Amino acid sequence: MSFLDIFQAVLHGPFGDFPFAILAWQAILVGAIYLAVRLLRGRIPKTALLPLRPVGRGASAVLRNIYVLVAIGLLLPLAELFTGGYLISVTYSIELYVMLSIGLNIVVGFTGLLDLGYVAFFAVGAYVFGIFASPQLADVVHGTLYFLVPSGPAAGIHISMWVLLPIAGLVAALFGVLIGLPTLRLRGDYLAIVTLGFGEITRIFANNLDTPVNITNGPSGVTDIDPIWIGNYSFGDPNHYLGPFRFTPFLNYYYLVFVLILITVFFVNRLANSRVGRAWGAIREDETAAEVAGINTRNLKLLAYASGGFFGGMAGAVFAAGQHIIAPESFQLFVSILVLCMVVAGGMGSIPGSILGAVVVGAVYFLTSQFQYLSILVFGILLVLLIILRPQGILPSTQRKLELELEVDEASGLPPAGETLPA
Amino acid sequence: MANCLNILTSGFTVDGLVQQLINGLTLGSIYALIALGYSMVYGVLELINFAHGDVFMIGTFVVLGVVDRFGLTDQSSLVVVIPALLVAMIAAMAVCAALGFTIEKVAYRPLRNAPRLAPLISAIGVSFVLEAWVATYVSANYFTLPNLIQGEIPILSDVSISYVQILMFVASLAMMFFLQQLVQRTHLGRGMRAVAQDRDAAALMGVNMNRVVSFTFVIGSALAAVAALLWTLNFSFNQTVGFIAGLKAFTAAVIGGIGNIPGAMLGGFLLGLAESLGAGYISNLTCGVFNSSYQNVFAFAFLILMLVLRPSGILREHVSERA
Repeated sequence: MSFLDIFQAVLHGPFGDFPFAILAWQAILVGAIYLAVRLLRGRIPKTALLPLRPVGRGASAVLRNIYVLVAIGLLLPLAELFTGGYLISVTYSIELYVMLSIGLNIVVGFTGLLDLGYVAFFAVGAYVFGIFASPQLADVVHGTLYFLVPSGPAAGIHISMWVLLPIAGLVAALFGVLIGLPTLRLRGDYLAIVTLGFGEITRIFANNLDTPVNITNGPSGVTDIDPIWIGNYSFGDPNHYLGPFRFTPFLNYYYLVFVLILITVFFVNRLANSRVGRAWGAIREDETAAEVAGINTRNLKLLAYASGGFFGGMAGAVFAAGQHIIAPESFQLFVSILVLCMVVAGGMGSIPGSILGAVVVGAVYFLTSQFQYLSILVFGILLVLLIILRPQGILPSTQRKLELELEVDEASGLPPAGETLPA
Repeated sequence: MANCLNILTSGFTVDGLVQQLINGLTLGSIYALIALGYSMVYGVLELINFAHGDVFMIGTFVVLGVVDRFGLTDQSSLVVVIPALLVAMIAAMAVCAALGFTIEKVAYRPLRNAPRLAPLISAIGVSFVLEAWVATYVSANYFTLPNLIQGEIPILSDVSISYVQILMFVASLAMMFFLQQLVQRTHLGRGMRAVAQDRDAAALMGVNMNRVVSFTFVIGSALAAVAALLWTLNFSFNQTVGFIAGLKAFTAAVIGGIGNIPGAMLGGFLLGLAESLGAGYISNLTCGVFNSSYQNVFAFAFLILMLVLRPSGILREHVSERA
């Protein structure tokens, strides 16, 4: 009996299957927990609870140490020896989310632009890779470009990963600029809903662009996408051995994405601590003031979208290569929301935070995803609890943390007046 | 090209246009009712209450439960149907109001002074919980109510407006009138307007912020319950209905000018019309390149266009967003 079975039984209660009976039982449960908390509050010395704090100061320092993280990342696949291949597929998926989370952090965390359509970049990257490294365009190619490409079983376009990976990123970045241009004037929640709209539009187009010209192959998606090759080494080939260790496709892609994450972190970290990064911070804190101070807010906001989109697109391209098949249903709004939850739960504006957020939220999500709806129930409850207990995120950026502590006046519990007044 | 012109002319009739207009207006009136809940909460707390659509969804299931209890079928006479639907409406309003009240208390109040995105994440979490709860403990299937209110009034040779559609339209207008009176004329309504204008100043003037916020959630959720009843009369639903309807409703609220009651209403109608006309005619207008599966694209494209041309919504007098 697994943990989730017990959880399921506890949630279900003893009164039978009728929804109202279950609800009544759960209400009693919640009431009892609430009463217990009320009774215990103030009776437990604070020091007794210290070990229960999600991440203490010591742990925080360890998790901010890049070398420790790299070592963990490199050695993690060894755990696969004990789990028989399941863990590595989960960690590989989480890795892709780490990349997305770092990319979205540029837009949401650094620049303060609430983006609910980040999945669009992921989708664009995946489709660019999928279309230009598969037989998808075979008909078009043979109709028009037959003199360029030889016909045969592997017809279609098959561009090398070295060219296609950056191109996928660049196209996604361009897409970011395209989304950014009409939304430059929008702020806050208006921006959120428009980006959400762009995300959905992207998916709907992917779903319907099989007519009049078959570009995306509609709902059934692009199939037979090439795996990634480096020299003669195919990442999709399951028969690579290094001594006794077998390098499965998941393991290959795990290390590929790991390297990509390192590169991403390097560049994003440089960006964050540069003139550009400081300008982004200024836009986040007060766009009008930033503009008055001589920052070209238009270009910098577009740059934020483009860089966020670039990394999202790269992640999408690797995703397409690893999956061999991509379909519009992989690019639901849910992905955007999941990534946003990772960024916020991890601590906005902090790179270690986005990584840890992706790992924690992703682990909770993927490890429970076999229990279809119940896992979402658990995920939702944990999400609410996490954000209520640590609204600033698990590992908030040190600068943001200082600002937040200054922001709230302890006596009144209200933010200072300037915060809610119109700018 | 000649073929295309053919499609263009043959697909267009006055009857068809009127039918699309009627469909758009009735769909829009439901969007508008849900949008009011988003709009009021946004006005008071500056929070996108992502869980609002799911409160609406719970409402549809309460209606389903009541209709089931009464054992209504296609053949039930109106003498039974009308009291049953009234009971369903009151039950749904009570459940949704209680739910909205609880959600605010549990998930949003502890985060009142947290960073701006924290309550949004909490709202998303609540939305997941509600959807998954229904899918786990009730059902993940689609449901359709029996055809309870039958009959229609013919307008043109080929077009008619059903009693359900009239009910939807009238009920939503009545609700908006009621809400407008509530906000403009009552003590609590004045408190709501004060909090929406300036939270701190309102608190200093002795407005009980917490009560105003709770009240806003209760009213918004009750309106969502009415919308839920109307929705179940005409459309099918499952546990995800709230998400899509909620998304459209929020779009409607933004189009009309968020925080503004007539604005939410106007936005709802406009969005409903844009969607139904777009879906109905886009295929003809583009020679079949785009078809009705682009319906949602049309809604969002309309939203983006509106926001680019008039970022503060149609009826919003002043913009008071935070940077």
